[in-house]
Amino acid sequence: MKKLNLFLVLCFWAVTSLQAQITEKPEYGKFAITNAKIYTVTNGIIEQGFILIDNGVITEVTAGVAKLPAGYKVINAQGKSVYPGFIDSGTLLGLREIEAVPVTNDQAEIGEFTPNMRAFTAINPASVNIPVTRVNGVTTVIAHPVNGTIAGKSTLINLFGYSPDSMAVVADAALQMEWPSSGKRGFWDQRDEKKIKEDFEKTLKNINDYWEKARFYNDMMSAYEANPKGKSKPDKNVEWDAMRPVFNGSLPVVIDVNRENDILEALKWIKEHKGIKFVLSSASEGWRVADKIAEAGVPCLVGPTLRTISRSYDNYQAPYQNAGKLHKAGVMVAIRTGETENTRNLNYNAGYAAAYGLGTEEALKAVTINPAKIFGADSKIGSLEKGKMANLMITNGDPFEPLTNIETVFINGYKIPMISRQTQLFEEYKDRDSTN
Amino acid sequence: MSKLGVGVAAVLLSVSSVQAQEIPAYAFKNVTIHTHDGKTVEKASIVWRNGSIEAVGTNVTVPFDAKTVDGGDSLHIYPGFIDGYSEIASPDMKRDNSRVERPGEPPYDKAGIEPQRSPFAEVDFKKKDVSDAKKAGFTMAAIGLKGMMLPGKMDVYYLAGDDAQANLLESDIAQKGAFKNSRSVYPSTLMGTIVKFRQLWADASALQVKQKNYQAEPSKFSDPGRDEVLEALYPVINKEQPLFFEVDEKEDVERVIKLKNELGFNLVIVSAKQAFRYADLLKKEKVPVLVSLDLPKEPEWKAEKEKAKKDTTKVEKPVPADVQAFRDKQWAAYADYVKNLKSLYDAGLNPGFTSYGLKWKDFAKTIETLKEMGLSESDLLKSLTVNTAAVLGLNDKVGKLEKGFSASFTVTSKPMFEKKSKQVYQVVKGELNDVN
Repeated sequence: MKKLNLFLVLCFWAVTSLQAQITEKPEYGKFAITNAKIYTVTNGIIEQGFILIDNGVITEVTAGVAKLPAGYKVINAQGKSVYPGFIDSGTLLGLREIEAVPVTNDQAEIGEFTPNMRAFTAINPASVNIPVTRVNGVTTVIAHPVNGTIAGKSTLINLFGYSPDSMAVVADAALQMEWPSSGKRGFWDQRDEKKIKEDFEKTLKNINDYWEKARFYNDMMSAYEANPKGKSKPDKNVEWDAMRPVFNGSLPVVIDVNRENDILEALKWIKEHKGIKFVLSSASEGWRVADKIAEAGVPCLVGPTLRTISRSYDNYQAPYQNAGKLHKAGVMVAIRTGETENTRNLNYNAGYAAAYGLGTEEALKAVTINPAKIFGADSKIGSLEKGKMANLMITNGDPFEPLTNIETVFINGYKIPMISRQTQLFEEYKDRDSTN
Repeated sequence: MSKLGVGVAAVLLSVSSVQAQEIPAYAFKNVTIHTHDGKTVEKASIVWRNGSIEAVGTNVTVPFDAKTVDGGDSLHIYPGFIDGYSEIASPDMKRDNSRVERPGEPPYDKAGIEPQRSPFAEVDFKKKDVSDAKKAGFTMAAIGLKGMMLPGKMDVYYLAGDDAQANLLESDIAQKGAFKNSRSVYPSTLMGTIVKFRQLWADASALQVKQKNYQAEPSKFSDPGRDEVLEALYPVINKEQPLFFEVDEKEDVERVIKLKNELGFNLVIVSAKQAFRYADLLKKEKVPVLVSLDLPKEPEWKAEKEKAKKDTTKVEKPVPADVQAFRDKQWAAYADYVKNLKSLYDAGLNPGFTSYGLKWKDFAKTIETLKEMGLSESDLLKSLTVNTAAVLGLNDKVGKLEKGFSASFTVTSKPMFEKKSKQVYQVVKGELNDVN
């Protein structure tokens, strides 16, 4: 009975807490953003120009002054800048609400190999963290599962919508994999060199066994589908079925790996698996082996750049410089925060990378067109071009600068109310004396 | 609430009973197959599915759904060896020094009479001797517990993983027995032990009759009660199960055969290190035999002599006649033991194999010695496979590389009994394990 009471209380709390949700609706339809400085990313900077948005799609990006046909709602952006919406290449947004509250954590299934888990199915569109993030100009993120070695599939979602379906840019964006560590796990790790090597080799063997079985499954199914005559249909295996797009090259594999040695091992492994798209993620020591990564032709989702050094003798700037060094070596770089509620800081992760060697132009690409290309969404998002999805922001300056205000955000053509949990709290508490 | 509990339990059960899906079939192609009778088939293929061999030979089409390893004509496949009587995975005997009230009438367990004990609850497949046996090419073993007169039942297990339930092939195939006694309580001598066997048979037979009578006409007879120790002997008394009896010396073999003829049970002689002395008796009595390969040490002078022969710089000292006479006798005795297995074949018997008394680390050396002393490879392989399977009553299921038989075999880099031959794969009950 006590349990029932608790349940009712929770229900009541859930209902009342809905009042804290954002109730203002976004606007949709035809918009004209005029007199703006436009950072197209793919076609340079238009010093003074206009953008037309028609039902979610960018229909015009042109220099000069617009002669507007009727029916457009005009947003005069004189003195302002327009950027494509930023894309974070690795977050837990929508999967985890509050880390310390287990029931709100949905990012990790139990198991070593769970390729059939789809982050897409678990996204919570009502996450309070989503508005907090999008009002800072981050319009699109990769949300990925994190358990075991092969965790499942990440999803590329816009940060506006009432269902995962309405949010998805690419429902299954990549297979998320964590590379096993070949080093000590920390100062508490008592294993000797031999044991560490053994453990690593054992894990790698497990990965290879699993991988080979999945690959065989794909070959077998393809053989059956090509000519089912005289063959009995093999049983469907949901796990390996989920990996079939990997083997036909349509689904990239994102490998989360950080240490120098681990990256080298991962690259060796990648080399052995031809015909598959691989992407490295996190790669905190990527700068140590930038040439090798470039040689392998593997893109890199770098970040967070705002972190501390991994070795005590490293220069403090190493994490900030990582993206820049990788880019100079010839690696295609995208930036990720690896965050949940702090995903809004993507701008400053990119800003630090820009200031420490990547340069503003490349840093901008690293949060727009590069991730769009890596996840196969560059026909839809990642730049301000005719025909693309209207994901953009209007700012009063460089969005990498913390003092810049993001004034207007469009996601999939919706003009988003610039309200979040933070603005609501700000409003509620800024003038307490007026009521009591 | 309890209904909910049952529901939850039912759900959990149903989940745990779902088996992980596997590759439908496997195959090796371009391999050399060594059959149970010593024949070799080159450029052969073997296909297996659901734990059983589906096809084998040179004229095999590998089906599309079989994951295939190409042996490249360098791999050799041997049927998995079977240990017919083994104590691997058995816990060590418990030391029990507690005082017995009346040592002349001790409880059954104190006297080492525990036919009700089942290995199933006690075996531990993580023990090192299990992995040693696997390395030696064994894929199955009839396992009993360590003990004295009647240490308990025997089960046949695959040597696959750690789970006894999953490994179990056949339970309760035999009872274990030996002329071993505790020395501190009755029976403590050979004559006492033999008397005790007779007594047990008499007690068990009587109890069985009384129980039957009482069951048929409870009003006419008094309830004889139950006795788990005596009841465990019923299958042996009723000739539904053989008694596997550990015995080496001729006199002891004669004693146990006398007991067999007197009491009427199916006997299997185990160990039989001096079988060359009584091969004819075994043949006459039609008693199957599992031979131990625990050989005596080679006389020391033999090795020295071999060494001296190789060293051409030294002139061999002549050996005095009396020493030579002694050496000749010693060698003849040694040769008898080493040729023990061969002598059984010469007598027309089909001896099986037991690892009883054998140290696994000596296995390879022992095989080498046996072959040097004239045992043919075909006889050796028969003992390790089909002969043992026949003694265990499993000759229609295991021991051969033929269609319908258990897919349990060992894959080596060279012919198995050649030097530098390495195990590459082992397949147990259809499960492929990459040994390296």
